[in-house]
Amino acid sequence: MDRRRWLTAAGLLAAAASMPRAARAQHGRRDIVDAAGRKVALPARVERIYAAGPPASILVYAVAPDALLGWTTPLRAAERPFIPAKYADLPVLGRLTGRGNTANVEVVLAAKPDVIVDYGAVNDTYASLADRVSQQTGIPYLLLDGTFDRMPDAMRLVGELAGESARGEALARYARETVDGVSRRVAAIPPAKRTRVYYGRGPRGLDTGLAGSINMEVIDRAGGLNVAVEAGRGGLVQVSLEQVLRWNPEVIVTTDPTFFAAVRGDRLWGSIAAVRSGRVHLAPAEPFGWIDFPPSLNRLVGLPWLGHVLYPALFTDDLRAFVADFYLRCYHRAPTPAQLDTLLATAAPRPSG
Amino acid sequence: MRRRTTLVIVATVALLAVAVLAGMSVGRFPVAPGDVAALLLARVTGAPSGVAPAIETIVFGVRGPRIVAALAIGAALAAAGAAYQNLFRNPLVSPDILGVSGGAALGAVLGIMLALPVIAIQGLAFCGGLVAVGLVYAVASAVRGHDPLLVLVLAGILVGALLGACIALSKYLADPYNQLPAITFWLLGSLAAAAPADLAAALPAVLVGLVPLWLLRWRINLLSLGDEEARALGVSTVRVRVAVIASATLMTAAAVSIAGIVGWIGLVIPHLARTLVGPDFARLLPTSVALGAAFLLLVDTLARTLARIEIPLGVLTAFIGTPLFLWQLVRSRRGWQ
Amino acid sequence: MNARLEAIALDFGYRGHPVGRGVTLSLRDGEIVCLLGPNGGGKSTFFRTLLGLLPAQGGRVRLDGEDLATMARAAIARRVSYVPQAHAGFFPYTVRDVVLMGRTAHLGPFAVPSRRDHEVATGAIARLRLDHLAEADFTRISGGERQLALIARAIAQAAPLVVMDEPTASLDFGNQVRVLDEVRALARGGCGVLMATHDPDQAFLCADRVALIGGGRLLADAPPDEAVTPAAMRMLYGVDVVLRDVEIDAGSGRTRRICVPVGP
Repeated sequence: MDRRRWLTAAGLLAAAASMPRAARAQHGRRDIVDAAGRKVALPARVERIYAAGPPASILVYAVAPDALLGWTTPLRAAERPFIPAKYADLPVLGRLTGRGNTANVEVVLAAKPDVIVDYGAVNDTYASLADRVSQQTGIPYLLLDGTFDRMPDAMRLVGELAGESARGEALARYARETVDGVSRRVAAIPPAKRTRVYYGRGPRGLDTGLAGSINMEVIDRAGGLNVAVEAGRGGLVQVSLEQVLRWNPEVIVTTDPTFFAAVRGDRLWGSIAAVRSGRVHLAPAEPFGWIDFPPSLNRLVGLPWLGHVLYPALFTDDLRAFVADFYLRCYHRAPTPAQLDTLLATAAPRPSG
Repeated sequence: MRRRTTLVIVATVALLAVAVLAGMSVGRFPVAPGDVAALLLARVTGAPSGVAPAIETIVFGVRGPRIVAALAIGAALAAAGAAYQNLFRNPLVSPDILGVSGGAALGAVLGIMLALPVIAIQGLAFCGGLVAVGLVYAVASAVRGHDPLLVLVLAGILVGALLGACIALSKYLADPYNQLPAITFWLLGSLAAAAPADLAAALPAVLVGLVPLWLLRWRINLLSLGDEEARALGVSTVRVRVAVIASATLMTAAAVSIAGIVGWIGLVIPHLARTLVGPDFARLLPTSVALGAAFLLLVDTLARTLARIEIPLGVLTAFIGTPLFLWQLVRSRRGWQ
Repeated sequence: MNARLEAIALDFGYRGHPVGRGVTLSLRDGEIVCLLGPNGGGKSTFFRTLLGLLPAQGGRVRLDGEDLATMARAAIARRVSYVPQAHAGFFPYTVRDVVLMGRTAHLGPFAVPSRRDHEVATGAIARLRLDHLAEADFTRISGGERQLALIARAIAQAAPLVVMDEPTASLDFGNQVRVLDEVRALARGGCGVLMATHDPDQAFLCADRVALIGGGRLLADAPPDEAVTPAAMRMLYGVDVVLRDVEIDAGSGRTRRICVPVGP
C-alpha cells in the first residue's frame, strides 16, 4: 500500500516535472533556409515580427498585421487615413539594415521579437549583416528575396511563419494572378507598338532610371518601353532636357508632385508628345508608392494602373474596383470613394487647354 | 606685360567664341551648324529662319540658356575666387571659404525635403548662401581678434563645419527613396536643367556682383599687403572688405543656387590667370572672368556629350581641374610667389 | 608744410594687455626723431597706435591738431606715410606696382593710378636708384632691395611725415648707409621722419632728437648727445658703453659721437 502511494506520488511528480519539456517538444523548433542560403532556426510559433526595413514592414503588414511590431519610419499624415488606426499607431522602431541604420539594437531587443524579417536585395553584404545582428541579439534573422517574381513565395513564407497560412496563400495567389493578368495582355504587343515612357523623378524631372534599374521594374512589366534604354544599363541617373526632347516620349510618369505641377505649364516641356496629349501621370503614393519605392508588394497596385495609363484600349476593366479590393486585402482598409477619387485622379490623360 | 596682356585677352576671347560655337552645335539632339547660324541670323535680322520650331526650341530654349548659364557661373566663380585670393592673401583660397556653398546647399536640401517648387528651392539656396556668410561675418565681428582675416577664416571654417553637419543630418533624415537621390544629384552640381527663368535671376546677380569688384580693382591690390599696411596706405579696409565679401557672396550664391556645387573654378582659374597676366587685379579680374566662363562652358559641354547620361558638373571640374592645377604648379618656376 | 604728429599722454597696447603708458612725443616736418629701445619694449606697438592702426588705450594722438581717431584713413595717409619692415608678400607684384601703391592716398575710391601717378612712382624709383629692378618681382629681390622699394613707396606717397620701423634691419652695411642718407635727404626736403632703430650710432648719425622707450615708458626726449648716455644705455639695454667723439673730417675737424659697448 505505502509503496504504491509512493510510486504514484513519484510518478505524478515526474509527470509534472516533464510537462514543460513535453510542451516544448510539442511546439518544437524548425529550420528554414532563407533566400541567402542561410539556415535559420525558428521557433514554431512566431507572434512578434520585427521588420528590418520598409519593404519588409509592408510585407508583414499585409500578410500578418497583428504580428508586426512596428514601422521603420514614421507614417506621414497623408498616409495614415489609409491604414486602420490600431496599425497606424504602432511604434516606430527604425530600420535595421540597408540604406542607413536608424535602429538601436537595444530597441530591437526591448521589442522582444521572435524573428527579424528583411525583404529586399539579397547579397553577401546583407547576409553578413544579418548574421551579425543575429549573433548580437540572439534573434533569428530571415532574408527574403524582394524581386517581383518571388513575391508570392515571400508572402507564403510570412504567412506560414506567423500562423496566417491561409491569408498568405490567398495573397500569394492574388499577386500571381495580378502579375500574370497584366503580362498576358501586354505580351501580345509587338516591340514597335510599345508605348514609349519617360519616367521623371526629382523636382525638375530630369532624374530617371536606366534599363535594369529597380525603379523601372513595374513599368517594364506593364509593357512600357523606357525611352532611357538607349543610354545603357544602370540605376538612377540625371539626363538633360535636350535628351528628353529628343526621346519625345508618348507618356510621362512621375513620382514628384513639384515636377508634375510645373511640367504642363512649362514652355520647353510643352513640345513633348506626352505633354501635348496630356499623358502626364503622377503615380499615387498613399500610403506607399505605387510604382517604385519602397520595392515591396505596394507595387502590385501600380501594375494595372500603369496598364491603364499606357494601354487604355487594352485595359478596360474596372480599375477603381481593383484598387479598392487591393487596399482592403493588403492594407486592411477599403478606401472611401473620396480617397479613391484622389488616388485615381491622375490616371486619365488631361490634354492642355 | 602690356603686350602680353593684349595677347592673352585676344586669345581668351577667341577661346570663348570657339566654346560658344561648339556648345551651340553639339548635343544629344541633332542640330546642324547651318541651322544654328540661320537661327542666329534670323534673331538678329528679324526675318524668318526656315528652321523647324523644334530645333529653334532646342537652340534658344535649351542649349542657349545652358550656355549663357555656364558662362555666367564660370565668370562668377572665377571672379569671386580671384577677389578672395587677394583679400585673404592666400592663393589657395576658393569662394567657399566663408561658407556660401554650405549655406546654399543647406537651403536647397531644405527646399527639396519640403517638396517646394523649383523656384523656391533656388530661392532658399540663394538666401542660405547669403545668410551663411552673414553669420560668418557677424561671428567674426563679434570676436575682437588682432587679425580680422584670420578670424574670418576661422569663423568660416566653424560655420562651414556646422552647415556640413546640418546637411549630413538632413540627408540622414531624408526619405531615402525619393528625397535623398534628388538631394545627391543637386549637390553634385549640374546645369542639365538650366532654363531661361534661371537666367533671369542669376544673370543680374552676377553682373551686380562684378561691378564693385571692377570699381575697387586698385584697392583690392592693396588688400594683399595685409590689413595694417593697406590702412597705412590710405585704404578703408573694412569697407573694401565688406564690398568684396558682399560681391563675391552674391555671385557665388547665385551660381550655386542655379547649378549646385561646382568646385575648383574659383581656385584654379585665378591661378592660371595670374600666371598669364600677373597679379594686378585690373588685369586679373577680366582675365579670370573670361577664362572661367570659357572653362566652365567647355566642361559643361563635355558633361553633356561625353556619355549618354549627364556627368555631374562638380565631378568633372574636379577631374579636369586637378591635373590642370598640378601641371601648372609643376611647370611654373615662380609658383605663386 | 607745417605738419605735426603728436602723441599726448598716450597709453598703448591691447585691451587687457597694456604695453605702454603716458608717452608724449611729437614729430614736426623737417626734423628726424630716432626712437631707441630694446626688443619687446613697445616700439612697434607705439608706432601702430601713433598711425591709428591700433586704437589708443588712453590719451590721444593728434595729426595737425586734429584727433587722429576722427580722421579718415585716406586723409591720414596723405599726411603720414609708414615704412614697415620689409616682407616677402604672396603675389608677384613688380617693384613698380609696389611703389605705385603708395599713390593710393591721392586716388579717389574707384580710381586707378593715372599717368601722373606713374611719373611720381618712376621718380621715386629713380631717386633710390632702383631703376634696374622696376619690373622685377618684388617677392624675389633681396631683403635690402625690398626695404628700399618700400622707402620709395613712402616717397611716392608724398606725405610730409614719415614713420619708419627699423628700416635698416637686415640690410647690409652699404645699404644701411644708403637708407640713412635717404632719411637725411627726406628731412632736408622738408619731411619729418620718426625712425625706430636699435643702433645708437644711427641716432648720432642723423637724429635731431632721440626718444628712449623702455618698459613702455618714455625715458628721454632730447637731442642725441643728451639722451644717449652710458647710464641710459645701461638702463635701456643692460649694456655698458663708452661714448667717444671720432674725427671724421680732418680738414673741418668735424666729429661724430659713437657708442661702443665694452665687454667684460
